[in-house]
Amino acid sequence: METLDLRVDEFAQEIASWESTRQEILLQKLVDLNYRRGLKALSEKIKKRLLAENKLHESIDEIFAELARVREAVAADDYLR
Amino acid sequence: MTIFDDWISFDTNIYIFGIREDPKFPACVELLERIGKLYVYLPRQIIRELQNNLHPDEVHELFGLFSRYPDRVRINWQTTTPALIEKFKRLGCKLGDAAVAAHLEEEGVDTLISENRHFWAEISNLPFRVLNATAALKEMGKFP
Repeated sequence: METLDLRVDEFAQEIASWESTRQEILLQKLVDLNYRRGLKALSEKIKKRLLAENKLHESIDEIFAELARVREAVAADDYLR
Repeated sequence: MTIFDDWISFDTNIYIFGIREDPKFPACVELLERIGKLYVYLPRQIIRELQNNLHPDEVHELFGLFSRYPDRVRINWQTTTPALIEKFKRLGCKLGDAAVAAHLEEEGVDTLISENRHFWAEISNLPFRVLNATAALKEMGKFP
């Protein structure tokens, strides 16, 4: 752990010596990579849940029909109560 | 008007097909992956639809991911103006679609990305254009 901390510290020192534009590009890349990894993990989790619920292979028409039903229900709840 | 400079909105189907990695809608997956390159406005109607289509912990995680782009994803929990909803109902929208359209007009959003493009095309005089995910990606390709 101490070795890892030391390496992280050295790496951070090196990055801190870069010009700010380069640092910002690196930080943005990190944000993008972590976002994509998180999104992928979430997709896998949702697909697993849908498979367990026997919903993963719903037809496009079924999905659109459910989306339309939810759309009307949400709007009715917000605007017709 | 470019897809990079202006606030746009994703219809709920873009999030759902994207998050399910639906093989019939690969462009939705790619668009969702590139959300940090866009300015995406998420109105209450769409947020609540996502809440109804996903489990609470999934919604929490999804919005946690969006929060990594605080300048790029704008979330609005306010209801929209009933008079605007009525306006879109008169144009032929059902209540839910009218609510989405009203949110977009209220915020001056010029582009809606939706895989239900043909449905939206049936409504005349919409104050925003409707692109599907593939067309949106093509437009993004013009501006590498």
